[in-house]
Amino acid sequence: MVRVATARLGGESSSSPRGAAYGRGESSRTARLGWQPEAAAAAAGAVRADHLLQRPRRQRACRGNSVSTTKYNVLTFLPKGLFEQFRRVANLYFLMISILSTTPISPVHPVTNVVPLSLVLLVSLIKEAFEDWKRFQNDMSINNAHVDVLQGQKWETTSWKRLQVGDIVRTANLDGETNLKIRKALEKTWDYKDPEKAFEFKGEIQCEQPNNSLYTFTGNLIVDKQTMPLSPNQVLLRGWWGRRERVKAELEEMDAESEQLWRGCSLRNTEYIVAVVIFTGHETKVMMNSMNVPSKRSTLEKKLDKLILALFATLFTMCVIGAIGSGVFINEKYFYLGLRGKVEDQFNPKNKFVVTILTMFTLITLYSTIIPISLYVSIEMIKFIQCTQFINNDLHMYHAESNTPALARTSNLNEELGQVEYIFSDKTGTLTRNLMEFFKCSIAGEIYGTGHTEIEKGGAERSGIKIDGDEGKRSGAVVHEKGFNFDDARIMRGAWRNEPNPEACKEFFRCLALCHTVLPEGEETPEKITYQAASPDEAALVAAAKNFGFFFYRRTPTTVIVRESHVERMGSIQDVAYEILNVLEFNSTRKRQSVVCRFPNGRLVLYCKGADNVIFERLADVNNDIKKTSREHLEQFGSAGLRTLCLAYRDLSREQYESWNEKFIQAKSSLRDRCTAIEDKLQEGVPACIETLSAAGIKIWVLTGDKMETAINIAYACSLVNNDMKQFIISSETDAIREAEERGDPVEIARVIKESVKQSLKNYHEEAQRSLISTPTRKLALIIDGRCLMYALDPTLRVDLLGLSLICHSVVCCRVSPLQKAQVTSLVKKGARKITLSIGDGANDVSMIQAAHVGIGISGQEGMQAVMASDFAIAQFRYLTDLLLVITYFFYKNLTFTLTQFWFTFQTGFSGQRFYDDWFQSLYNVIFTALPVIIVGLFDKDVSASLSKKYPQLYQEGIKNTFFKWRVIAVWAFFAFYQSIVFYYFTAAASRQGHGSSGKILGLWDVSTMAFTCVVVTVNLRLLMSCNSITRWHYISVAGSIAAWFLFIFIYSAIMTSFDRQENVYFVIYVLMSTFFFYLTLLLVPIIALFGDFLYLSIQRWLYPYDYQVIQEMHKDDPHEYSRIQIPERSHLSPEEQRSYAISMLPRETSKHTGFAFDSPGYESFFASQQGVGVPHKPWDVARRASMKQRQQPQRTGR
Amino acid sequence: MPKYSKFTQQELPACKPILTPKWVVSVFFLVGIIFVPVGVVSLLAARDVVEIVDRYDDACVPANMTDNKLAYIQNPNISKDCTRTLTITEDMKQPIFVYYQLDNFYQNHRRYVKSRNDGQLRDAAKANQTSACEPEKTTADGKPIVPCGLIAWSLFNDTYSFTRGNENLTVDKKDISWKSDREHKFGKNVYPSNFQNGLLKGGGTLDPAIPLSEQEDLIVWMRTAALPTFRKLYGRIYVDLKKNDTITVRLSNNYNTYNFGGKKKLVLSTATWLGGKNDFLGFAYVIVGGLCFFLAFAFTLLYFIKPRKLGDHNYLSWNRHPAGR
Repeated sequence: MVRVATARLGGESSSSPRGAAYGRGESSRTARLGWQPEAAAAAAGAVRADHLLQRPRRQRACRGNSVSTTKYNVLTFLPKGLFEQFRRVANLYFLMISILSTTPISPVHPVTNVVPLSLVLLVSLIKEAFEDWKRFQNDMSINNAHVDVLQGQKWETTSWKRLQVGDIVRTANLDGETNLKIRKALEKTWDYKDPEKAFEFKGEIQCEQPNNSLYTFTGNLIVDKQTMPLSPNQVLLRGWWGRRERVKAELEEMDAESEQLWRGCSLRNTEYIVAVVIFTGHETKVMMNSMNVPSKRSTLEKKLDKLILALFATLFTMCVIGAIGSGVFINEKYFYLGLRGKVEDQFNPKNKFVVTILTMFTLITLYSTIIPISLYVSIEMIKFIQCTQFINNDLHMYHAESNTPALARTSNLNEELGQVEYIFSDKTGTLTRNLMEFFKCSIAGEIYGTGHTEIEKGGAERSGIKIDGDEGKRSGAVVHEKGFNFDDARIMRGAWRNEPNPEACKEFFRCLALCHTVLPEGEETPEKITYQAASPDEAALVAAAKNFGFFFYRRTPTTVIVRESHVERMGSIQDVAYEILNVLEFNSTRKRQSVVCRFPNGRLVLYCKGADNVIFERLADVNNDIKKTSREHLEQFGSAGLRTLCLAYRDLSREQYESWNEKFIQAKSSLRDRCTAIEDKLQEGVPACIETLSAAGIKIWVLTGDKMETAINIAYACSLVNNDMKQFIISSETDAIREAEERGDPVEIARVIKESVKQSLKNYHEEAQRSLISTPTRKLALIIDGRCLMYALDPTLRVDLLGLSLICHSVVCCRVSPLQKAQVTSLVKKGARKITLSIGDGANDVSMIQAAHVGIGISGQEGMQAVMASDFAIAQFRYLTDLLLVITYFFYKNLTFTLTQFWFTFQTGFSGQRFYDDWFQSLYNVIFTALPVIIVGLFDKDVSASLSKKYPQLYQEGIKNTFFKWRVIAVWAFFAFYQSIVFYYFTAAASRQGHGSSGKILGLWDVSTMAFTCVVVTVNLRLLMSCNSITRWHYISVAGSIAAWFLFIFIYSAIMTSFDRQENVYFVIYVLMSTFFFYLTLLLVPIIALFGDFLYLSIQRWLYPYDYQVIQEMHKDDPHEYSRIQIPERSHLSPEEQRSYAISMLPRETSKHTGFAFDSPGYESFFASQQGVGVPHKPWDVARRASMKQRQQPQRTGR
Repeated sequence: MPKYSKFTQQELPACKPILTPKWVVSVFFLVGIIFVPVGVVSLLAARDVVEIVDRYDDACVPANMTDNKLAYIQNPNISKDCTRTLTITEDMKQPIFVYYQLDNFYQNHRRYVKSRNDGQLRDAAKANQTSACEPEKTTADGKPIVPCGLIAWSLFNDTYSFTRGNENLTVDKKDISWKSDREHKFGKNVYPSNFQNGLLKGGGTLDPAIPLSEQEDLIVWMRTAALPTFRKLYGRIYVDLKKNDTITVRLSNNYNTYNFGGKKKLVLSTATWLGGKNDFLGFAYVIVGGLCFFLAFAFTLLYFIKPRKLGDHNYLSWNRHPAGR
């Protein structure tokens, strides 16, 4: 449904007939958008920028640009916040219990349940308020950012929130657009860049309704009755992205000032842009998108729900037992209970059934502590701190070059990071850095360049060869800059003059310097200049030329000026202006790029660079030796994982050129060849990382839009696939399918493909099953392309696909669309019920990121290392599984506490008498045992991050969920049972006799205080026992909790208020402390209670150690890890800053980090269209992709 | 750049306790070393205590009424006096504590525990405050009962007097309650009123002329017991008793436990620093201590029989199952 909103730019105030027509056609829109009725535009549904009339701007537009992302406002905070809280079962349960406890059937004062509930609610609400306040501040800072708006004939500064549809703005501040994306203003508008001119601009924009499709834009610009279509190419769909991840306004129709307009304008090439606002505030595409981000619920939470259910079942059982007991017990014979005559229903012996039912409720209230009310809030706090303090501040995940720290967008999913089993990764920019460096070259049959690629290093490491050659062979001053990672003394600094073929070298360098579409930027010195190119490999080539002494520094529309060194003789420098006569840009069919240029001396040369096969086809039939060696070199480069490109040139005679130019057909030229090799660097250490991950039992699936060959090469390069693996390839490029395609009947094609997919799935599955049984097991790899995947995802074949792919160790899907990426992800997520994690940086990955349990979006430019991040995050966050300890501990401590209560019930005639004082019970969960478990949740790690990286297999414990088996729960439950018996019977048994030399007897409250003291001490110590590392925070919190109890009881039992309250515990602690009995029991009971746990832990550790325990033992004498980091001597930094610096500068092998954002909707690359990446439609995109597709052909043919 | 702090980078110095054999054995050993002596001392203390227990509820029912104990206890015309003779088994040093012990008496029943009003007990001005005292709040004509509630109403009222030969052994009934109760929970100017005036008498009566703070039997009674079998202090005898002394106890068997089949016992006991005859603590200490010694030994043995090199990577699961899956 396309809605048309028209925006009139400037011009008269009267509504345009066209706009009116559109507007009346769709009355609903008018209402929805709330156009101002008094504006003339209202009826028309038109947005106008009406500068002539100088109307107050606020009347012109519909909805302001102010954006609010807050959840609450001052009025709705309480009701809405409370409502949110009570959606939790535990909170709702406690609300009901609180209500129940105000009735006479309750054995406890309402305070018992109200206090913990209110504390929990208070903490939760404070957290909510804090988060909302942050959001509000964010909104405010965005809303109040400045922008220039055209007012009359001049620019006036105003804030973003005042922007309105139709405003013409000038902005220089579009931070966040880190990828170079080309926007080009319509030719018609090029002149309107000064305020005076812009003021005269009259026009109208008709565009679609606000929608959330990020990659499309449909609209027309009408100027002077001329309608010009606007494409996404002219629209800044996501301006103002920034760290704040929100777009304030979309800017359209840039009138850029710069002579570089022909290359499109980006804010890198121009100081500012002039634009028109089309959508504002909540109508911007990003805001429309951010509305319905799927909320993700962690699997831990689901398991937690099961545990809570189990607790409810236990509670119910206990209550039933107690209630039946009460019905049996109640009897008139206990005259001292006053049960004769008129007795309330609860205790009326004449109606035992009612007694049973009512006691049931009594007991539910009494045993409510079994439900760990503070568990949720504790977990929330732990996760919140983990996010804000640990993840976001982690220096190991901080990208120093781009100043990007990690950003966790949601705290819900932390612990999932410890259980990821499948990683779905995009290829470009994720596995590879999309950062090109000139690495090697072969000129006239001679290889230059001494470096070793990541892949070579990886291969050498695997075969045990150590590569150390770098230092020896390298010349003294290694030049290493962006795009250039090359060193060979033979051709650097003019040394090429002494090479066997200096002429070839010269032409090679000239070709590099001339045959491209790169723009120089900045100061015209070799050190300061930067190159802007559509694809990074172009820039790399030009940078290479610069380093060889052919410094391209200026481009005019017709010439390229190069500062050439050492050409005439060593040391000579001269500026040469080459006239560029023609540029033939890259496209996917030609696979090459050519320029025709005229030397100052009139020589005409055609320089050409392109894919090897295209170039080789066109080479002159001379020098076949060089061709052969070059081809060999190409293969060599390719197998080292380098992208290759061939360069060639031909001298043209004037006649040749002119005839060609006239006909504009390509002359079949005879060319001389050279080849270059460019490394599309894999992210540093990718092969090692993938090895680590696969040792950790994590399977990596590469989902890419690339061609199958490219994808396979990449998979080889990063050791996802190797020759030892059995490969199952399901491709649509088979003869049968091609035949069908030639016949051209779409139904027939579909049938054939489906049949073949079905057949191969079936065969492969059987084969895979067989190979599982056979020994030695070969690893399996599945490679499937998008077209086949479409059929394989069909419900009938889905099961086979899943079965096969789960057996395979690596899976590569190529030519897949974004939708298929998401489908594959959810296939594994739902089908295999495994935790999945998606990484990607492009728009085509968003759906995949949202489909997975955990999504990682890479923010920022090429070179971000997402897989590395996951690797590191996994080492770093493996211990997040310790939240399970938190949960089981909560379970244990509440069960223990409640069971003591339960045992007491048996000796009170099942009356539901409470064992503990109301305040003891109410503060037990929120004060006396709350803090240590949070500390443990925050700090405990079984082994350090570096060790978990060293032993990736440890990660499998998390995947297998070793720590959250019901068996583990059962062990805890058993010890809870045992301890509660110890607590109750050991203290109660002592109450029979007098204590101390006075012979006085202790009463109920003395016993219960004694028991409670033992419980608090034991439960806190038990936590300390299950810690793997104990910091001073542990000691402080545990000692603090115990001290808090004593402090509380000292004060509480010493005061007597005038309120009518039960003064049962008055002075009990002092009475107790006057006896030796107290101290002896306090020593005895906790030790006996912990005796069982200690015995269990000792035996378990010795006979059936967990992996992490063995590793702890192996490294128990290691020094503390942080002591290994060398602190640099930097006097101007504080010690803290020095450490920050040191950590962020750590070698990448140990800190494979990046700035990345969990669960981020991701950065979309603008060009990724929704049809999939396979069909690029912009020349520069083609250029980029074409250059990618050329790589590594030789390796494949070699196999 | 995120600021470095040991907290955010999770590099807080930490000790990493590992349960190595050395640790396990030493912990058990240490516990044993501490517990056994403590246990022995406690046991010795408990052994010094001499305790004589005499159950008298059945014995005090006249022979002709053993079939109908209820009628006996409920008939105010039948004399409840009863004489018991006790033989001292060991020398008993003064003070000798006189306890009564009740059985099957749920002083911890919910209906019973809450049936009191602490404000009323403490403050004369709050005599009308009888909330929670159900069903013993007021008299039939609506006057507030002081002290109200079931606990006070069911006050134990058997009395004992002791003679050795002709010598009267005075029972000192002062200071049998906790001082804090006497001084703070029971008012000095609160006098019993309308107490035990109803048709149904639950137990003992109180002298309306004596303030509650001096009614120590009531104070002791109202510190409700934790378990249905409990002892309460009745008084002290400041006379040493010799072995084989015969003590005659004259008691009035007023209190009705026949209704619910509860036992009544009279206990004479000495006390040490630890209190009465309480073997429990001592035995627990000795047993646990002994067990610890045993376990220290057993674990030493285990470490010899099933030795395992610390941090042996053969124990890593992926090395145990080399398939790795």
